[in-house]
Parts: sequence; structure tokens; C-alpha cells
Amino acid sequence: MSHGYQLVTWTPFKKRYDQFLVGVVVAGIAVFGGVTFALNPLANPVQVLMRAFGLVAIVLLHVILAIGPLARIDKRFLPLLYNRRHLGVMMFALAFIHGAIATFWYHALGTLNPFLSVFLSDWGSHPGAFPFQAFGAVALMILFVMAATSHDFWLANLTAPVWKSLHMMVYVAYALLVVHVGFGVLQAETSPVYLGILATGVVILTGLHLKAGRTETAADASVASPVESDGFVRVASLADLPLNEAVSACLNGDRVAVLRYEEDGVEKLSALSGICQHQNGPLSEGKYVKGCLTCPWHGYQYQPDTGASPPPFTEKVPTFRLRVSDGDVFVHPTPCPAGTRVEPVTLN
Amino acid sequence: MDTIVTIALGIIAAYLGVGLLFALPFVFIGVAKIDAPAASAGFWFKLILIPGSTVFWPLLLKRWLRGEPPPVEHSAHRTSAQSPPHP
Repeated sequence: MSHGYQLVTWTPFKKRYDQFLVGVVVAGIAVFGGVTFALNPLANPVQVLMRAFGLVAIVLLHVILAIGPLARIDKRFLPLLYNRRHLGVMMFALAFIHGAIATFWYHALGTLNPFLSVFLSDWGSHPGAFPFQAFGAVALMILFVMAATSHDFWLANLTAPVWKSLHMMVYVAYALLVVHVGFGVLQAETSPVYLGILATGVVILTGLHLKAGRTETAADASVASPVESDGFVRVASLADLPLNEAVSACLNGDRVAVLRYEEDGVEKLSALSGICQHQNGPLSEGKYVKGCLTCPWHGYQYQPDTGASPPPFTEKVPTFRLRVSDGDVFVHPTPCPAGTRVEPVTLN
Repeated sequence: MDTIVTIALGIIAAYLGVGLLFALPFVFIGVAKIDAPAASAGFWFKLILIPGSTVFWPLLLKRWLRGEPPPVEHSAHRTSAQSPPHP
């Protein structure tokens, strides 16, 4: 949470995650190199290294893009999401090395500026030539902007919605890279295996995103209820609210976290905006931990009655008035300003 | 095509060149003026702000000149928030 900045806020989990990640990357490069030289002992080592970095980068990008929908479909994948930014920066580093090797190997020794050559050399070089390198270069620029803004400083200074929109550009980069890899492979390989693997990755990612999208749309649509005479809206039956675990209700254009929790032996009910101030994570899917509603993505915490993070942290989200009548929970759809205390409903 | 690509890359290079010139003083001096917690942050933290500052230099320069703190995000709930009626 944002109380002073550090280069990386290391935890034992993050260290294990990153060690595992480095191990996988090194193993991936070694396996690709080993298999390539086993099949073709005369392969050019520079080209093999370039392709190895590119291959591991595109595989990592598929993993990165799969984590989001997987975590929405099944919460057991949430630990993968917790450190996804390290995956992203690692993937950019691998893609950058791939691009640097390609630029040096294919473009640095000519008379044309190497960067211009990356964009121009494919045009009309031979019949059917496709400028696949330009697609890769533009994708790399997008990935650079994302890696450069991956620190929480940029989240705070661009705001989460802007930061998130910027980082959604990963899908544009992915589309460009599918073209880059697809046409690059077509120029170098006669075997359909690589294209088959790429197509499988695209199909799996598309399927996961459609499945996650359908799940969320259904959840949002399920809470539409008529407005009561006092302006409140029924969001759930009290009996359906689990203890110490938020339930999501869509009100006033965004999700609201309705939380039934036990504090000092007393059961209470509070409602606050379900969008975490950090990365706009799904706070409405959070749990009550140590006196706070805790976002499942990165553990940002908010006090249920005020929507404010415990001192010295400064994040705060809007709160909502609520009441209980005849075993049903009603929330007023007009939010209170972020950090406004709303008296919780006491249940026993 | 050659001319278009040459001009486009030239513009990008000029933009990033100015950005880099801006980023160096910004991350060591200016950042503290727009985000107080960054003032006490370490050297390596400030160093990793250089690439992003090189890209977003017009935005950061404007905020540095005006001394603006980090903005508050706009969302449906924050925009429509109203103080609750007194009981």
C-alpha cells in the first residue's frame, strides 16, 4: 500500500515467485537451444538464441494474459495474479533482448540506419514479403511503455483507471505479436508445428476471456432490483451473505462490496465501493482480514465503516448507506464521498 | 513508405530525446514536488522512473510547474458521491 515508495517491496512469496520465474525462463531457453541443435547441429547460434528469447517471451505473454481470466473463473489462480507485474517486466526484457539481437544481426551491418531498416527491409524485398518485423517493433514499443509504468508510482500518478487503460494496450501488442510471430515463422519454417502452437494459444486465450466475461456479466446482471420508496435497493438476502466475505452488487455503474463481518464478537454489515483504488482490483470479491476488507489482488485493505485504509496508508473508497428489513439487505445507490464513515448495521 | 517511416521515427526519437533530458532532473528533484512520498525514496527507485518519465514528460512537466499532487481517479462511484443526509 502506498506509504512511501520502494524499488520492490519484497516478500518471501515474491522472492520464490521470481526465483521460479527465472528458473523457468533459463530452462525454456536451454531446452529450445538443446532441441534445435539436436535436430540441426549446423544451426546458427545467434539465430537460435534470438528465437529462444522470442519464444520464451511469447509463451510468457500467453501465461500473463491467461492469469487474469483464470483468476476470475477460479480463485485458486489468484496467487499467480499477485505478482503478475514481475512476469510482465520479465517478458518485456526477454522480448527486448530478442529485438536487440535481431536488429544487430539483420540490420546493423548495412548502410541504412538499423532502426529504419527494421521497418523498411521487408517491404517488397521479395514477392509475398510481409513487414512482420515492423509489427514486432511496434509491439515492443507498447510493451516498453507498460514495463516503464509498472511501478505503483505510476498507478498513483496516472490514477488506476488511466493506468489500467494504458495496460490494456497489451491486447494490441498481443495482436501485433501474433502477426509478427505468424509471418516470421512462415518465412523461416516449413513445418506447421509452430503455427499450430500459436493458433492453439490464441484459441485458448480467446476461450478463457469469453468464459470469464460471461461469468462476470451474469454476476452483474443478477442484482438488478426495483428501487424502494426511500431510494434503497435490495441487493441480497441476509441469509445469503457469508460471514467475513464480501458479496458483489452492481449499483450506480460500478460494483459495491456488501460485507457481513464479525468485529469484537458482534456481527455487522457495511457496504463500500467494490473497486480497489490500487489497480481497480475486485474489492467486492475480498475477504475481511484483521479488521479490514482486503482486496484479493494485492492485499490492499479498507476499513468497512469508513472505506479508508488503516493509517498510515492513505487510500480510500466511497461508502454506502444500507439497512436490513425482513431478512433482506438494502443499499442506497448514491455513494458517500470516499472515506466517509457510515454507521454499520449491527446484526446481533 | 521510406519517407513516412523516416519522419515518424524521427518524431518519436525527438520526443523521447527531450523526454530523457527532462527525466534526469525530474526524477531527482521534480518528483518530490508532485508526489511527497517519492522525496524520501531511494536512488534505485528514482532510477527506474526514468523510462516512464521519458515517455510521459509533458504531463509530468505540467504538474511539476504547477506543483500539483497526484490526481484523484474518476470512477462512477466517486463522481456521483454525495455527503449522506444528517440523521
